[in-house]
Amino acid sequence: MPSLIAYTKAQLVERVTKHLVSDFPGQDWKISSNEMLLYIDQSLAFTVVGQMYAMAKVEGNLATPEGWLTTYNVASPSVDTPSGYWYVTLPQPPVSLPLGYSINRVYAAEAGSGQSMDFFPIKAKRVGYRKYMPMPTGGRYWVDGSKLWLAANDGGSLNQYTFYVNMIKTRTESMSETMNLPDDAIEIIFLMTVKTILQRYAIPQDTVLDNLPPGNKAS
Amino acid sequence: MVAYALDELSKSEGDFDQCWILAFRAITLMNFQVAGQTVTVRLPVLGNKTVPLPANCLSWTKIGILDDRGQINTLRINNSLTTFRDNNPNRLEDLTPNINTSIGSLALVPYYSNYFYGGGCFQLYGVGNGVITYGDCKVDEKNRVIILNTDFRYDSIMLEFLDCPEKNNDYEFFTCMQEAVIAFIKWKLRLGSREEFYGAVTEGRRSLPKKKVELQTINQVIRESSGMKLRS
Repeated sequence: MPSLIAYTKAQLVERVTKHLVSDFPGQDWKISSNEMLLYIDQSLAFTVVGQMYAMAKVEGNLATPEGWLTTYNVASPSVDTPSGYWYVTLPQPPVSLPLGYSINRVYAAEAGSGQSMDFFPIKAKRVGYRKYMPMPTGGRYWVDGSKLWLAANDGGSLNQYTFYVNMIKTRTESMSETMNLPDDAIEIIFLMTVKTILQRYAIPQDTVLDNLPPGNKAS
Repeated sequence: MVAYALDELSKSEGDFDQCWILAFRAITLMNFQVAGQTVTVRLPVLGNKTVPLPANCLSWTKIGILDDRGQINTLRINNSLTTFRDNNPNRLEDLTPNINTSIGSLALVPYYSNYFYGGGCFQLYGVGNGVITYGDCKVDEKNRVIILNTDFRYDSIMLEFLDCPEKNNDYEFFTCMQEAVIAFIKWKLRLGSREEFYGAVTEGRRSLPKKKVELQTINQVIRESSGMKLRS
């Protein structure tokens, strides 16, 4: 099997930069890598949500493309003493898709016992009245912002477990990490980033077209 | 069953909990309608001669005591038993009679003679006799207790009842009703109709254990209907 080159954000930043300056950037290049990353990350989130709704129009149902998913190990949860609920901090707030699509899976694991059953997602609007209805055996979770709340149906302690969250990732950990996204999404992200930066900085572009009349171009 | 429904509808894990609640409602509904399975428990008689109904008891079907052949002998329903202070531990002490033995409530009741022979009326025991009665009972649905007669002699009673799916538990249900549960979920998610649900219930009902025609069922009919009797 041939070894493929890992596609990183550093490469995407490099590619956008080279495209904009038509060469390697010189002294007058003002856009930092971090700034460009912000544009890239916002395009990532916008692209995945748009891609999923476009796909839903064809398939008739929402589905998260597997290429976007990343499983995070979020370590052991802490307990919120007054409420008695457990929580972990997510690497980022979930994208604006229904729970079950933004966050795909949450499960616990413990050395020796292996992986638990998946925790049941409770959508934000149901959290308040959920406890008045019968509860299936197992754990449940709900999200506010980047906080993931966890509870077992019997109110048991979740202290010793390590939690894993499988969710859509649209943020940057490091420039050199491999990007979790399907290759077909790169084009949209590239174009969106270039378009935003061009508008923002009004970078002049050479118009390279044959058959144009000589002299200054009016439009 | 919920996972089957999610798979059929291409839903995600995010819809599991809502569909689980719908499945719970479907099972409760079908328990009442067609697929109720009775459970039997032995319950201790409290000191005040009452027995609280179990929390998951939807409706009772038999109240009785167990004999040495493993059969439940039902208690007589006596609606004259009062529900007065039936959830009070001192119920028996509080049942101060208005009529007591010193007055003799039965003293003035005449003998009942039901047989005429040789110019005289006699009592003939055994005619029109009911089943043997081991005790009286009445169910107070409001306080959820079974009231027994004040001189009930047994330590425990057998209760057969229709139970409801309990909170915080997985619940077993007839596999033949699987499609009905899924149809209920689809109906409530507005992806199916009420008619489809009842169609699935009817289909499932035909496969319920007591609805199938088996040799044993026919033998049972012969046992119950034939005997030594005059035939026309």
